[in-house]
Amino acid sequence: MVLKIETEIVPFKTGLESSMETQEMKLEPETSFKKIHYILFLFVFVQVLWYLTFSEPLTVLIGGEPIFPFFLSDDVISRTARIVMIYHSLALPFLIANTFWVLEHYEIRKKWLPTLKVLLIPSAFLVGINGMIFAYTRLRLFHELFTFGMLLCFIGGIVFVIAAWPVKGRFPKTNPRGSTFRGLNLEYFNLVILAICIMVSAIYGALAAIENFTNSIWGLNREPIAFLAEAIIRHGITFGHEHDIVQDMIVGHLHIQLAQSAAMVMLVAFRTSKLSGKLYTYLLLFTPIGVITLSYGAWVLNHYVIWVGAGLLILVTIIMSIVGMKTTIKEHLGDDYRSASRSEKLKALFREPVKLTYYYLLFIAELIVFPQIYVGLVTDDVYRLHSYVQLEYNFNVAHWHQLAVMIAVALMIHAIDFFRVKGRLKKILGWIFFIGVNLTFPFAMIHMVRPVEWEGVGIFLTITFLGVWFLLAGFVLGLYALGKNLKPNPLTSKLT
Amino acid sequence: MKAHSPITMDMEYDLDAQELSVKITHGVTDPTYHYIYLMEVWVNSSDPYHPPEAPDYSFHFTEQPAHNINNYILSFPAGDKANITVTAHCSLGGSLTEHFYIGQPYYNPHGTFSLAVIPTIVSTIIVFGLLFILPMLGQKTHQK
Repeated sequence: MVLKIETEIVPFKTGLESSMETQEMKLEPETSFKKIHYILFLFVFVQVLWYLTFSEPLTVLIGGEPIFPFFLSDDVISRTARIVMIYHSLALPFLIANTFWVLEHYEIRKKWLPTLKVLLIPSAFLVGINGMIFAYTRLRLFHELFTFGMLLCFIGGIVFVIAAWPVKGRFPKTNPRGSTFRGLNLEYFNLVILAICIMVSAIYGALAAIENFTNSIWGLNREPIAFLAEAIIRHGITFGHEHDIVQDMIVGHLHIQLAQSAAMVMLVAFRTSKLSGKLYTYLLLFTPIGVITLSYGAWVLNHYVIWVGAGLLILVTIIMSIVGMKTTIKEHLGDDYRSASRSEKLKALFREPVKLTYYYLLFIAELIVFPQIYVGLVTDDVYRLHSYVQLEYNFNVAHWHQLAVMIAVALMIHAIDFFRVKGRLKKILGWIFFIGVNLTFPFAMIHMVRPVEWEGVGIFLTITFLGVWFLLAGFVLGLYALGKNLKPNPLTSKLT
Repeated sequence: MKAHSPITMDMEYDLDAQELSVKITHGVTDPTYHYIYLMEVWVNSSDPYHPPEAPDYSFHFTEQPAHNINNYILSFPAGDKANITVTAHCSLGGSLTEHFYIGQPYYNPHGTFSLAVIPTIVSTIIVFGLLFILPMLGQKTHQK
């Protein structure tokens, strides 16, 4: 007979210890849009690669002609209409990518997030893909789908305003130091003001397009052909004509949409630079005044009003980028920051090439704008002369090209940091972008503002193109690095 | 409707050389297939906006040099005070008519930064107005 003994461990109870409470710990991941950022980056990059086939940085290397000329038939669709569609097919995914970066840094009311995703992500692809197809085929169906995508994006804008609307003491729940005024969160106030201004500017473009092609708003009986803002900008002044409302609204629309996208990047950088305290309050108070003044200046097409609004935003961005660099140094040096000499601080900044390039780009972007403001000041006396027709046109095109590329590069550099790319790869990326930024933007600016006597001088443009190739290499390597770091980092999850 | 009209025209007349320089913005993909093929010029027409007469001068072209902006030099005598009307025709359809007064000085009204004062003040009032009103909203049901 086998005696079977069962044992049981009974905790020793003395009555002195309180019983141990057990609780379930579950990990709730913080809202992160890494996959959305990556997909949108990839999508826009593929678009850019396609557009590169007929774009100057590539075509100058292969004899000045596009790689696929058979896609570019003026019998199918006019060159101007094609360019307008291309701009929009690129701009909308770009704006939506920018919006998700804002959402990444500013938590909105969670119940609206699924709605926003359902509206904005399909919108990016509907506009991007159908806009591109229509640009080369002129098949009406694709234009309707393109327009539907634009509508989704607009509705997304309204939802964003509702989801981000600040209410004193209730939303947002936490406020960084210095971010409130009379209890109201100024960051979210800025987001809402900016979103409303963006939507008004979008309505500008939409109304003008509807009138131009359907004659159904003001009944101006315009010839329904596409035109570029940069092509008609002189028309109103040179021969004593006046722009009609359609031309005015298109020029205003183009003036402002990119500037507002730049303001979105600035709001993202407010958070990354870790601004705080009274300085942050002042900057957050200046920003909406700048945004409204700038937007109004573009809506009524008054450069002087635009400059005052832009001037306020430039000032704010310069201060923010300086604070961002200082924060980078502090984080790098840690406890040694107080005792570090200036050269040690500078060395510390250069040991973080990604963050350095990010804030440096935001800083020089503002400095580069000044000569371009000067061009605006002398437009009447110089740039409207007959000999300056080509220079003024090229300046207008280059001005917004430069702004768009700056925003794209800022987003990519920020993404490299945000996706926690590490080690040598991160340093290489930082320096590639640093070189690219220094070659592209300052030399593009010199090329743009060169006097008419230098019109044929191409050296600055060549250097600019060299910089563009550095930036493209940075984007390719950057996408590879982001892809490697796509999985959510456990450190970003929090215990509840 | 599918037209490819030129979008803008910028003109200057050289009195000594008796040449009209016309810079036309006409964006095309293939400038040997799609181009400005004809420019018609009227000097002192009875209606400079819609000249009823036959053109005084016609200039024909078989291509345009550049994809976007091109400079055409048209030689004809016009005198030191004249009303010039030019129509440019596109090879794929559409045209643009523009007029230019020889002898009229170039004038463009100048703006100043004072134009920005009122909009900036109004923007500031809007922002601070909202910042004083918004904190009062949504507080009734809010438990302190």
